[in-house]
Amino acid sequence: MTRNVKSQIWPQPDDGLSLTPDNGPLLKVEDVCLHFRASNGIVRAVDNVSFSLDHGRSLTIIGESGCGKTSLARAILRLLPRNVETYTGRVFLDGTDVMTFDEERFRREVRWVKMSMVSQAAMNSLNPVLKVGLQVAEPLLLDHRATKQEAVERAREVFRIVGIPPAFLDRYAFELSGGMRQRAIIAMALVAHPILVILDEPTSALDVLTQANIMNALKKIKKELNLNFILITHDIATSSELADEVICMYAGQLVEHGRADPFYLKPLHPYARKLMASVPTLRIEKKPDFIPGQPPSLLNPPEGCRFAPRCLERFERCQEEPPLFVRGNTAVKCWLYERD
Amino acid sequence: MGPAQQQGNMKKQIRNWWGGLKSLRRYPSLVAGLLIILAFIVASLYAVVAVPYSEAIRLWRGGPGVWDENPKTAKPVWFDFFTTEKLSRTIRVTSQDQGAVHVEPLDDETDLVTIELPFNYDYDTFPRELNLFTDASTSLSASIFWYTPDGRVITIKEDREFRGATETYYISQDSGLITQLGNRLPHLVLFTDPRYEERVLKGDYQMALIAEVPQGGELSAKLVVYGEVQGLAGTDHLRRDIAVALLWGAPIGLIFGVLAAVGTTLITFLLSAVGTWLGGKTDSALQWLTQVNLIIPLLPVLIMFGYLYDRSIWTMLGLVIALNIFGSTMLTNRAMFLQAKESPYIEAAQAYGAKNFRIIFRYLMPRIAPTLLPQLVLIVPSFVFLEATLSVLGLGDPVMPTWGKVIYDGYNEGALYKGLYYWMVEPALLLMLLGIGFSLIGYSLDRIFNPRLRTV
Amino acid sequence: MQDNILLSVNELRTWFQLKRWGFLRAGFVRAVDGVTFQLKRSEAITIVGESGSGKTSLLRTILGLARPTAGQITFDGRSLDGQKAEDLAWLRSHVGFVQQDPYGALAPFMTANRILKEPLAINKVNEDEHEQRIRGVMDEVRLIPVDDFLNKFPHMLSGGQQQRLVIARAMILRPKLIVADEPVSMLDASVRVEILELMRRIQQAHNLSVMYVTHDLSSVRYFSERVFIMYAAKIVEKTDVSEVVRNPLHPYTQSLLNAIPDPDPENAGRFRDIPAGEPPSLISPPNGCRFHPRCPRIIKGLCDVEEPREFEPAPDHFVECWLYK
Repeated sequence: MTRNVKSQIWPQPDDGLSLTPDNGPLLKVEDVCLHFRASNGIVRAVDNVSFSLDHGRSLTIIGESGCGKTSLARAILRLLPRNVETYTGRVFLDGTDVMTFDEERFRREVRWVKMSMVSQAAMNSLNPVLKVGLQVAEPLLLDHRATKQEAVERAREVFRIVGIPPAFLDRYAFELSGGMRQRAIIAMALVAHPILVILDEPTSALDVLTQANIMNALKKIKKELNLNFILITHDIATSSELADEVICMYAGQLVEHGRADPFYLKPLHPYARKLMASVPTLRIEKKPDFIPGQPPSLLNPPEGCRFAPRCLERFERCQEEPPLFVRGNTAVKCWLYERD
Repeated sequence: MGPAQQQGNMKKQIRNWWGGLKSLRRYPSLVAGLLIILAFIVASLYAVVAVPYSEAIRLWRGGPGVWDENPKTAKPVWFDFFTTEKLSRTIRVTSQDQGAVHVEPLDDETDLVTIELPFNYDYDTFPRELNLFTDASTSLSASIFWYTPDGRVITIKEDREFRGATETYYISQDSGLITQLGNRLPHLVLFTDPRYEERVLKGDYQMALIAEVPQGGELSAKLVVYGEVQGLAGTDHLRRDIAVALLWGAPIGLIFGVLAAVGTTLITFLLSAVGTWLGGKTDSALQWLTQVNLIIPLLPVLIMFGYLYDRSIWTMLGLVIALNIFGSTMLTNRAMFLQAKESPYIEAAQAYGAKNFRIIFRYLMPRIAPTLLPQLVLIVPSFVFLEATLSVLGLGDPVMPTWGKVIYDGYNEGALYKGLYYWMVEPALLLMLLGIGFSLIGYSLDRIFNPRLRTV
Repeated sequence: MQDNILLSVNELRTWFQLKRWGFLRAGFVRAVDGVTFQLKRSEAITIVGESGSGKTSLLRTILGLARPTAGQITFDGRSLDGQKAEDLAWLRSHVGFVQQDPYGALAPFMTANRILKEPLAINKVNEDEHEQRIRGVMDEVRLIPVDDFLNKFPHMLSGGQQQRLVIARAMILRPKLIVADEPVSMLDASVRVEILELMRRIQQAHNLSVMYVTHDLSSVRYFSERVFIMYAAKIVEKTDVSEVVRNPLHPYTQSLLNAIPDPDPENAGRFRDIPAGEPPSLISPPNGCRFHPRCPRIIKGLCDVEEPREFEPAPDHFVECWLYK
């Protein structure tokens, strides 16, 4: 029964998007820029970010507040506010540049169907007057993607996947605890069989034990469904729970992209190093470090390397903006790694 | 601080002000509203200076001698712009000024006094009325003649009796004269071109009074030919120049509206702050009072009070404030205060020992105070309209000339039915303009002070 | 009473009355239900608990903002009667409060100078001393040059600077105890440590006692030496920070530790061992030990019937759990 539903929801092969993965990466982001118009200037929230993610790998994007990670997620999913000044670049999903799609096509074929998102504190935005089951099924009811019957069936199934008892399909949002609500939101993101799910601070509003429970559930989902996750968070420790690869962002730019294994233990970029050093650890005894100064304003980022004003290892080359250098499996945006 | 520094500071302050004013350009509706209200304020100041209060009351009360030279229900002079015909205006000829007085002694005791009152009539339409005002020192008799530009002489009255006092001869209403002229109205016939029916004969006219006056007696006369248009705003049924009421309506409306708005807003603000902070029974009592008061309709209560007690504008003002304090603003303020009450800085203040009074006035109220200004400004038009409504219903202040009063008079005299639209439209337009002005300011202020309403 | 004990709390209970329809009594929220501990002078302790554990209510009771329903509080040698308003007022002026939200904790319409003046004015400190104290405290929190900051409004300061101002305000009445509710959780990661170090420095310089409340166990070692774990309105474990990581005794503490990741690439492949369920309601807590519905090591017949007493299985390491009878 599930298979029938699935084949009716998937876009047909000749609709433009390939079903079977080709040998390329799942997601390839090229030179994406997203600038907003604010009352006092232009905020350069995402500035020329490029990376790629292979099938079956999970990515974590870390950075402090205001570094542009949420904006990057919005840029990939094209969930843009009204005051957008610049929105350029290319986003290849399974080989197809979805930036070329017009809004209607993107909405029908990509958003939620191929890529979906769990927003920060979305659990507080559940509609209080609709039953949770119906809300979770709602994405399937748009555009006649499925009949009501099929949608409810699928909702039941995703509830099972995220670990909510089926009885809760008929409950209202206020009857669910915080952890349950967040699981419901994750279920909503999974309901249309996406191949990529972006999670933006999925657990920061929850208690420690509930957080760990949700992370367990996400790990299970990743294993069972072979889904690709992009986890965005400012909590460095939590980020390691669901990371095969890590991207570190600073002031709207990507400063390091590498495998989890070297990154958490030995990051390359000076900012990433300082960031790791400043994370309080439970089990490892170490003296905490902090980074003096503040991140630059995105209205007027400094010329050259944006971290240079606070970097202890800066030199004259840093007055010019460094490109992304590749060292083994890691890409670093820092002049220190120029010679390869 | 030396004088140079003080001067520097002042320059900086002026620059700050100028910068602040320039930034208002981002809100064109605010600028428009401010201009409108500024115009009303200027008009009010002019009204108070040019026609002092007691004078205004006196004028509006009317009575004999005040508005005699105005036609009844005349349109405003600028109507002339919109018609091809030249509409008639009021002409005044007095024996002392434009007229001529000849005295010829008849015999030892009487003189023959001839008063000539010439004037030029150049209008395309007939006058509305014709009145002769005389002032005789003793009783006498006189004959009145009418000279037309084409040389005819019409006898208006032979040997009319005049008492020894000021007197008015309402020529247009003299039934004898009407019959004499063939059952037609004098002020039409006397000006009609005999060659064409219904066409005005333009040219020099003259009215002559020939009287036998005892020696030493005096006779003066004033002829008023009433026009169709008069004044900037026209006249009403009591010949009063409506412009006086329109002008004075501005300060009255403004003062009433602003005082009521300020009184209500401030008191409501204070009560809601205290009630919300103290919570418990105080809060419940205030809420209960408000909800009960919201059900009671305001206008009927005012009407009742006006009928049974006192209609003076100050009493009404006080009553309006009292009944509006416990209005919906109390509840919206309460919502804002409830939210602010939960702010961490208030908890911190309690932690370092602040007591209720201090928290309410120094911590809670300043937080919500920015919203007072738009609230206040937006509510002014409601009170202005309220005062006008009361006047229209006949419950306005008995002596003051207000816009609502003008509408009331117009309504009672059937202005719209008679086609005298200017009478009702002028005050209505002014009311609307005042309302628009305050609303423009108020909604812009709302956007400035309430950041959530701002669009990037 | 020993002289080096600043705060002694014995069987403290803070219950809030629930009212249905505005006036019908419908039970109590037992936010603090039998808490006993002692805080020495110049000691820093951290109370760790999740939301719904009652830690905020405990904090507010110590601050004098919530009225204790039962139990004794002794502060600086003075025994306090929770029913007397002046006792609570006295407590309030001797305990400093650092709040979680630095921007919300500062009145947005007051300058820094005014913010610091308020506690002094309210507590009738001599006017001549005001400027000196304000400058002193601004200097201590490193908001220098002081003159630059005195006329600034909160929105002109960064998050870290705002929190420094909050700390300055907490210090200005020269309290002996500072209570801090998640003082760094709303700050950026790179700023947190800076603030924590500042608070440490101030604590040592003035021999202050500090009571931190947080849910983030991994940062406890940077706050204090001792940690109290709070669950469902009771303190279930009290010990040193290093000991709690090495040898957690209470099953709840053990699950907390299991739940907290350190940044480690191995995490992606591991599932964590955590009990299911939610913390119990504070209105009708379960019988016996409050953790028993979720406890993986429950002793049936004992844990679900009788509330455990406090045991000391290791020196200075206290647990309220029947496993350590």
